[in-house]
Amino acid sequence: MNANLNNMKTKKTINILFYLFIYLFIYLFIYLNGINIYSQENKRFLVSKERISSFSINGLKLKDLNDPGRRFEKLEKLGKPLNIKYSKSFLEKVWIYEYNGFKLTFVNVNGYPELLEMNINNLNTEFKICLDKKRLNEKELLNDMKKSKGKFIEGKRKNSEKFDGSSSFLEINLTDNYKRIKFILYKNKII
Amino acid sequence: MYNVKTKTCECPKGMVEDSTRNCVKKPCKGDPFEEMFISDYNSEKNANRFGCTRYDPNRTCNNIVGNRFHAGIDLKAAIGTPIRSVSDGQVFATGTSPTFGNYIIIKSGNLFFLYAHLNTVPTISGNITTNQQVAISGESATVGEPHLHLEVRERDGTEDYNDMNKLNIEDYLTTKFDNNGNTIQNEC
Repeated sequence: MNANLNNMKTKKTINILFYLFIYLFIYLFIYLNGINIYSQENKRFLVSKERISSFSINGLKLKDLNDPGRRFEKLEKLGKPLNIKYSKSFLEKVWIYEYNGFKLTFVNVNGYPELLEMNINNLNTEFKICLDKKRLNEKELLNDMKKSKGKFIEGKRKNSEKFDGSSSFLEINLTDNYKRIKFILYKNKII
Repeated sequence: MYNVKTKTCECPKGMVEDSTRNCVKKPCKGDPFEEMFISDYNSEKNANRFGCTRYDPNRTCNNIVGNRFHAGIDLKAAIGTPIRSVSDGQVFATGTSPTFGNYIIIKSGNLFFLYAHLNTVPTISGNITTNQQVAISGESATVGEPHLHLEVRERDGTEDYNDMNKLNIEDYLTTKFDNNGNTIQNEC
């Protein structure tokens, strides 16, 4: 009788330990995944919409980049591009202006060239980035992110979510340790 | 939503039998969809209509500061919705573009009707009649915002599509929209 009772108690204890182990496993799984998501995805900073218009590169304001003129005359401020790639289809013409450290993609679908995308991929070059009338280098941009308006977003966020109801977004993409800027991307919705 | 399985010989008024013998809402002649709604991406419906309708603080459109030009209309469409031709004509071109995604252009006289952001590049060719299915809607080149971008341009002495006369596509649709971009029901 006593042996049976002891057996039942042992089984009950084993069952409790088993379920505790399962709960602990699930908890650890969720917790570690949470860390993983944070460390791998959360490395993009979206500059707040109201600050985007204050952005300029080598003294050329975003409104002039968006609308560079039919002969791209407003781009003269940026100096001579390293390379210009041009392609044409029935629907659109595409120009890619490559400069030292950044690249501008323009399309013509409405009768005049418009900026589709600006990709700044090397902040160690000589060009000048200004935001809110302040000249910012890479270190200052990183500091700026900590205290200024904008938000960190998940890496897999779709473009539509980045546009968030507007026609453009400016995104700063960081390295894994948040200590360097990988690239800065500005994108316009053309159609 | 509007499909009705019917056991009767005739569909209710305003509905027609489709190929699976279900009664479906009768499409308006000249509309790409049976259910016509302006997309509500880009903050509000009116931003998806023709003209200087897009809010953009960095642009000026026809002297309107803070607006961007939109050459067509964006219609709400779940991925996979059949798209019908709004006009008679011929398939002029099909393809893929970085801006428009998968597209088809149907030429009707001097008019070029462009259907963009399609699910796949249509394989249809030759003559097209109004209301004939020509494509399937998608979200190509507009990840996360499935809709149909529909526009019409007129060849006005130029062969260059970019420079063609941009017309208001709403003038060619049967369904009309009110000042808030809401659908005005037509009897058709």
